[in-house]
Amino acid sequence: MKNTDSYSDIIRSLESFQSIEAPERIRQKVINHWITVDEKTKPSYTSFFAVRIAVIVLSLLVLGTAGVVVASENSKPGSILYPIKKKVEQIKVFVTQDKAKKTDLQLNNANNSLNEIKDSAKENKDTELNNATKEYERDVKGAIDTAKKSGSEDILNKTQNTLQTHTEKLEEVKTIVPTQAQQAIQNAINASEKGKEEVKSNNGTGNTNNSSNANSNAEIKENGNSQNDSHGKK
Amino acid sequence: MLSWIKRHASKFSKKSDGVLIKKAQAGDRNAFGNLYLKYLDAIYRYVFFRVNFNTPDAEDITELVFQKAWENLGTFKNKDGNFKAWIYRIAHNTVLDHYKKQRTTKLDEYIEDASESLEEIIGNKMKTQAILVALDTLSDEQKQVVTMRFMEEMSHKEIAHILEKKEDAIRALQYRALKQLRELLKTYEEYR
Repeated sequence: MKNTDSYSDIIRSLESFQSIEAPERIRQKVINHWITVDEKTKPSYTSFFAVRIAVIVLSLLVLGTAGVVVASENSKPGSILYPIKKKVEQIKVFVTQDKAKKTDLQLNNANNSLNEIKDSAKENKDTELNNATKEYERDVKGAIDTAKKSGSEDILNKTQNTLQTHTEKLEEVKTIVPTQAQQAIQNAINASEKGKEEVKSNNGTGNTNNSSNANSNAEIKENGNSQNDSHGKK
Repeated sequence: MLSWIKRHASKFSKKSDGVLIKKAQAGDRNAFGNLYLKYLDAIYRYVFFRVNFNTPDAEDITELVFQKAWENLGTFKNKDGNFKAWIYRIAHNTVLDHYKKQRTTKLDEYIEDASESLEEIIGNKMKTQAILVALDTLSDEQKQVVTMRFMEEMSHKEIAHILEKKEDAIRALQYRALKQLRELLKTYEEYR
């Protein structure tokens, strides 16, 4: 009816009152009085599974048919299906509840990104290289967060060891790529190193060679999966 | 895209008001506790501005609102409207009852107290005290519209439903309130 543009400063001031919250003592009182101990401590599985079901349904709607998803699995950076592949990877991580499996998936995604870094760098594809580096950094960060949240020494060790392998692999790649690609590789190395240190400090054990990690399905596999196969054929 | 999915999935998946209400109506205290926590801040803010920023009164009335909601939950019909509108309606009536019982308010004292504690939240965008004084000069209806519209981000339709008025009337109240606030703040700036 009437334009409120001329009152935008007043409206902004009024909106700033949105940050007013009820005193904490009332919130505590509500929790103590209304929420039972079980409810306070138990995870909300209903909500949890509902989120995952919703994600799956929405993902299928957004991503179209399952065929597209399957077809995207072998896609490479720059391909039209590549963004779908990356989203599928993220969704798989999101819907995985088990911390160990989740970390594995994230490290595996990091491993895929690492191979994409290597391929993009070798082929002088700067945009793809930068994108793959960002993906790698994100995957590593995700894996570290999950490992830390798990509080499990095994998971932390596995993450630490995998990242150590990543660093070594990246150092190797750095020596064989053109100069202009080296900075991106260095960024990935920094992400891996930083992650490793973060996990190490969180773990406290400093274990860098846990034998149980030797079989980690998240470890670097030169040509160990379909993504790597496609790279390996080049 | 994932963030979009997460955002919408979380909206979709959160125990909806409907589910919680149904459980609460069956006597599930946890379900009601979750509804309570969900609407606590919004109802507190609404009451706080209606009782002239008197924190103790705002706390007492907020608790009373939810107590009434729990006692009358059986009368709430899910299909007739949303819980949000219903609880705001209870808050509105509870504040009116409060004023019937206790008409006098030490406004200046409360404004001073409130502006001191809110200054940190609001920063220096505009003098908090001036806004609070200006807000207090609004009619009760104008104050409600301004609170619900700009602090709770409700639509004109939602506000109209709660206050049982037409949307045009809400827009008119909003416009007059903003105009009045502008004039008062202008005067404040000139005289300070």
